[in-house]
This record gives sequence, structure tokens and C-alpha cells, in this order.
Amino acid sequence: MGHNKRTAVLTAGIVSLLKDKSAIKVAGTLNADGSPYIAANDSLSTLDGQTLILSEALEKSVSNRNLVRGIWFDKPVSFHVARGDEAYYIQAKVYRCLIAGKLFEQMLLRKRAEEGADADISLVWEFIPVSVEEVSAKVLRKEQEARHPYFDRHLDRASIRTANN
Amino acid sequence: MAADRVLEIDRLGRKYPDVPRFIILKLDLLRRGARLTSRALDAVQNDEYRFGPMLIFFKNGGSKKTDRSNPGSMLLRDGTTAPVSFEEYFEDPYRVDYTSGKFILYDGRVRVDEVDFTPRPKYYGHLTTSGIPMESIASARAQRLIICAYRHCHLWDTGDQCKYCAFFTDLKASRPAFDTPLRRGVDPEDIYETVREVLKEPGRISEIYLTAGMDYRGEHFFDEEVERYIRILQAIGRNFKGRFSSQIMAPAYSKAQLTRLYRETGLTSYCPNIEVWDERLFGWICPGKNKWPGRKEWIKRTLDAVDIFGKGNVYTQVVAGVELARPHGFKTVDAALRSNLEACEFFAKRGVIFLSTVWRMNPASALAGQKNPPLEYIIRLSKGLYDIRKAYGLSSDNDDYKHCGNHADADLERID
Repeated sequence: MGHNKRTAVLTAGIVSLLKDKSAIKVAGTLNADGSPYIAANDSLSTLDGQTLILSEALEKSVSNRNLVRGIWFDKPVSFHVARGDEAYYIQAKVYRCLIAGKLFEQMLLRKRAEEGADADISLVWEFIPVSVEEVSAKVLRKEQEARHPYFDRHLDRASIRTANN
Repeated sequence: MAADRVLEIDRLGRKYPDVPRFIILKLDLLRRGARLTSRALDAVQNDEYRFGPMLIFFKNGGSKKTDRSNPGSMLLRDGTTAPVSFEEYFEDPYRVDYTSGKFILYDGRVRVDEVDFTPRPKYYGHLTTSGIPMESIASARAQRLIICAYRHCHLWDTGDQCKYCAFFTDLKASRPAFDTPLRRGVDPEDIYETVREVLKEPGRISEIYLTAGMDYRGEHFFDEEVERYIRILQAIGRNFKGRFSSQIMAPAYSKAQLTRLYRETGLTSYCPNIEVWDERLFGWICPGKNKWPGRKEWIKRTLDAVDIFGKGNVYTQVVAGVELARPHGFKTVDAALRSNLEACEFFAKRGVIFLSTVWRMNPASALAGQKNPPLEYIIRLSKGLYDIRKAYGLSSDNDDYKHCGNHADADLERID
């Protein structure tokens, strides 16, 4: 149904980050009017090292409705994943919605293992990553300074001025 | 031809840009059915996919048993359930093949999309204490458990069955498939045990649905049937702490009967299907319902049910397309559309959710040999019904894509 098969490779570092429960994971989706919507979702992970997967707790959450819109009308989604000095920005296509089956059950049981036997999920989404960028502060500064060496360097900084000024 | 047909889906997708192509595909699948290639059929003969025994039904109404199983309802990539029929009598079905570990849907030689099937529930293969196969008591869709409480429709006794209907005509063929006698009635204790077993599978079911053939017997119409449902719902209810997400698709009961059903059981939703809205066509297509208890009373009782179950918890549906059946049906799709939208508005104003399902001509029905409804008509109908219900603040929670799957118009509510 028109999904783009172009995929981006998830490196071992990103896979490790995605599988780390302590990492910060944020999903960005588009509202009906085109405005962005972001929401933290710590269920974001990868099971096969190639696609992304997350569970949504609520059928009627803004994120979930936006993901339905994403798969119906080919709207992109994006993710920000970070831990300490590491950070990645992932653009993705919504590939599949799961409401039953092995993966659905696996994600449900994971949630119940973390939050107790009464925890529940509404559905599970699978995504195909189409681009991955490292966006840690260190990498972004290095990239910018290579192209724009005089941006964001106030001259009063200790690393720039001499001590006797 | 096949390429043209996919282009027709694309053309209609462009013409109705706010109707997702997944939904258009679902509607077309429901109209045209699908057939599994030998490879695909091989790939569902396992504990992940095989559902009920595969019975082949032919254009002449005959059938034969096979030693294979069909899969459950088709699942599209967006989570849409498409309860597609895999029978032999469809003239121009989609094709499902299995390659590289995936099920691929084709229209002729044109690849349409990757699809999947509802997973086989884990209670399949289990027996109740009395030795009844649990899958003969309940079937499952993505998240709905479907229990057939009584396997006979008394409208067939007098030739008053709905003209599109072929329910239970396959009962004789089903008997050897289950290798056990299938009785008309089902013991509530067997149902209780089946539900108890179903609940052992994590996250598998979020609604219980009861249906049956019509049984109008009793001092008042349907008294025996209502008693049966109460016994069954009470047995099911022993598995739960209070009211549980559930629906019965049943005839139009009196207010007294509905009050008992609601008060004495954990039932949450009620669905007396009108099937055809137009008065003249109702009398022709649903002669039994026109007698028990009659169209006017059917409508009145449907509205009365809102007082008991609440706004948005009473449903009714039409078999979309049957109102175009020859020789008495509407001559144009515009007239058919007007009739159904009028019905939806009428019910929505009064808190009843009016849904459509797609008519699939069955060779064992009185309307055998007729054409399925045009795709564009059911797209317009689905969108029209959705728009009206939305305007009245109604949400088809008990008949949504997870719980039923028959209603494309309800699927459209996912982004609201």
C-alpha cells in the first residue's frame, strides 16, 4: 500500500540503546492539522535489529490516532533515543499494527513483567527506519564547527580568551 | 483485467481521499472473497494459524469436507480485520500466496500487499469436561470471542428465513468435521469452561459475543431464547468480577425481556439487526422478522433498548447491498444510499449505532446468483454512515476493528 521499502541500518550501538529500559525514548507523530506531537514511550525497542516496535497503552491516545493516520495516509514518524552522551534521531515509516499474535503477546507480557499482572496494552506498532542520525551534543557541535567555526563561540569563554583579559 | 481492478481501487482511493486504501481494500475483499494457493494453505496447517476444518462450498450450494484447515480472519497491515470468505463460489476472488515467510495478497498477477491472519487461539484443541471440542463452542476474531448459543434458526422451519441467509445450512457438513455430534443447544457449563480456558491466553480476548439462530418460541415471542441467553450469560459471568465487555446479536426483545437480560447478567451491549431499512424491502427480504415481531415493533424495541443499555450501547446493522437485489430492490445506488443514510440518521438521533456489513451472495441462500454490491457504493455508504454517527457523538466501541471487523464504517472511527 505504498510503503517505502528504503531502510536504514540500526547499528549495534543504536540497538543497544533501544533495548535499554533506562534510555530516553520519545516518539514524534503528526496531528491531523500537520502540527507535531511528541510523547515519551519507553516501550520503543527492536526485536530483530532491523525494525522498530512499540506498544501503545491507549487506543484513543493522540499518538495512537496519529499512528493510524500515519499508516493510512503515509505520514512519517520520528523517534529520539538518548542515554547519557549518546543520542539518535530516527525517521521511520509506520509498517504494521498488531492487535493479536506472538509479537503482541510478547509486548504485553513484557509490560506485565514490568508493571504487574493487571497491566495492559492496546496494540503494537512496527516501523521501518528510513534514516538514522547521531544527534549527541558532542557530534552536533563537531559537525557545526567544521562548517561554521565562528558560530556559538562567545568570546568571553574561558577556552577562548586569555587569562589576563 | 486484474491490473484494471487494482487501478480501480487506486482510482476510488483518489476519488475518496479521506477513505484509507486499507478500508477500500477490505470492502473489496469482503465483496469478492479470497482463495489461498496451495503453498499458502500449506503454511496455515499449523498451531499458529489453522482455524476450523476446511469445508469447501460450491456454486451449486453443495459442499465437501477436506482434511485441511482454513485460517481465521484476514488481518491487513494497519490492523484492520477483514473476515474474508475463502469459499469456492466467489467468481473473482483475490489470491493469497506464501513466499519468503510472508503471506502476499494478489489481485490476479498484481501484488496488492502483505497480509496476515488472526492467530489460532490456544484453547483450540481442548475439550470441555463433557468432551465437547471448545472450538465447536466458540470461535475467535482478533480480540472477540464468538459463541453460537443455538445452532438452529426457526425461521427456516416455515421458509421465513432472511433471503440472503445461509446460516446453519453447513451444519450437516460440519458434523463429521468435528467428529462429534453438534447439538442445537449448547450446555452453559461447556460455555463457562470454554471461556475459562480462553482467558488463560494473555491478551487474547477483550469482548464476548453471543449469536444464534432465531427462536421465537415461548409465551411471549422469544421467551425461551431469552431464558437461554440468561443462563448462558450467567455461566460466562462466573468468570468475571462484574459486568464484562459483551454483546448479543439477537432479535428485537420486549422491554421486559431486555430488562431481565441487563439486570440478571453482565451483558453490556445489544444488537438487534434491522438488516434492510426500507419497509417494502424488509417485508420481502426478511419475512420472518416481519412476523416476529414485525418491522414497526422491531424498530420500537431497538429504540427502547437505549433506555436500558444506554446511548451508544445498542446497535443495529444492514446487510449493505441486499437492498439492491433483484427483482424488488432499489434500481439505483443513489436510492439505496439515501435509504440507508436516512436509517442511520433516524437511529443516531435516538442513540442507536447503525452499522453496515457487506452482502456476500451465498449459493445456499434464496438470493443465490445475484451480484455483489458495487465497490463504490459501499465506500460511499461506509463514509456516509461514519459521518452521521460522528455528528451525533456515537462511537462503535463494541463493534470496532478489534472486536468485530465486519464494519468498515466503524473502522473509520480509529482516528477520532
